Amino acid sequence: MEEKKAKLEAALYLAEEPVTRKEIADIMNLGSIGYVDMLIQEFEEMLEEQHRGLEIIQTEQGYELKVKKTHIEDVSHLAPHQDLNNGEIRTLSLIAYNSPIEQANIIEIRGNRAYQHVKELVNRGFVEKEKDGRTSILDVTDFFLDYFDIDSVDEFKENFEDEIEIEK
Amino acid sequence: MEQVQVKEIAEEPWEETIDFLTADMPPQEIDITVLADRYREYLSELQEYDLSIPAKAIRICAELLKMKTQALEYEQANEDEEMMQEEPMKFEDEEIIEQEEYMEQEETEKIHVKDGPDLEIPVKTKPRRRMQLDELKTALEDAVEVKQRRDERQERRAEMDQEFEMDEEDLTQKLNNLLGSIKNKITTDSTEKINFDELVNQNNRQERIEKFKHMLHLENDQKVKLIQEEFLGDLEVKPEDVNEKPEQETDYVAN
Repeated sequence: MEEKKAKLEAALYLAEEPVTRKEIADIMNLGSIGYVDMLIQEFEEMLEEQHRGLEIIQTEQGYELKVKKTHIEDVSHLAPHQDLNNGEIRTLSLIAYNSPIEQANIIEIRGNRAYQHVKELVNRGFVEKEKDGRTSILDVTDFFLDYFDIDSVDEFKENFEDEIEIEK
Repeated sequence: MEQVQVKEIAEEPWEETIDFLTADMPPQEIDITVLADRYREYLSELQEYDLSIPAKAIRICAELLKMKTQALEYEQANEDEEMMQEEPMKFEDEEIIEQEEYMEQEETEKIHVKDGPDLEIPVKTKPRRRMQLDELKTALEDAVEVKQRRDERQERRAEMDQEFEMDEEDLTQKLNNLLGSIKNKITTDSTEKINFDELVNQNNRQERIEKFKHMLHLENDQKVKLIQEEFLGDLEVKPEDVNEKPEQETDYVAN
């Protein structure tokens, strides 16, 4: 079991993209997805018990090994690459500030590339998209709130002393 | 191509020209690169034999060259991909050649080299870290700035477009009016032809030049006949069909 956990840690450490349960099962030569879940849970507990600086993040795309929120501020300068690229994070910030907002408005403000940004943000679990007639309504998810360690989007909006004017 | 042949092709519709230029290629295997080159050559020959080159032909040539570029780009991309796929094999080939050379050298020089330990390169990914709320805040400010810059650019572009707007009457309309006034004068004066000077303001040089150009258009379209008996003499205008009513009933259509 310890060896399997070590292998899981190596896989999550090395992977550039989130790793799915199926991929983990293949790496470990495991036939049961239930066993993968158990392994991940035990690994999470181990990280917690040993007060390690890393934690497992689960999104729709799979599992990732990330630096704990509590340490990120001290070490972020060592890794200049963010989770999302500049364009995606700008689109995300607009969605968060205006949430819920029509996708058409975001495209109007950010241009056609924002379609791809929204797709990525939905895949990564930051944004949820609900069809509404000819457009879709975009809103941030609980994962977004957990990720940025805030209770609601209002907490994000409070960061701005002057209200930001965005023509919709 | 010979001059007569070029002239004949030039008189055909553009589809026929394309057919002629691709006559030796099966329809399913038309080489766009060859066709673009042939079409460009055909245009050069038109110019060489002093034949007029229609604007449409230039557009077709431009499109063909664009298609040629795309075809070549696609070909290049495929070659690159193949090269990428072939590289491991190439490496293997080089390795084999190196080994063979080494073995030959070993045989001739009898040098014995012991195998060293295998080198293992440690693997490490480029870490992508978690974002912070401050970064999200900065990103929002950046997004607003980008939006403002884009709006400013659009405004500037709109202003520039406005500067280039030309408040001019349509050429067809001008030709229509001129033909109408010629026919009116002919009917009123009961003559067959009128003097060009009667149609223009004598003191306005600009107007004279413009009307003269319009007159040439009308003659080219066989709407009027321009007569000048002697060199630098008076220019007379005779409509081709005097009985035809002026512009209200039969609109002039530029060819």
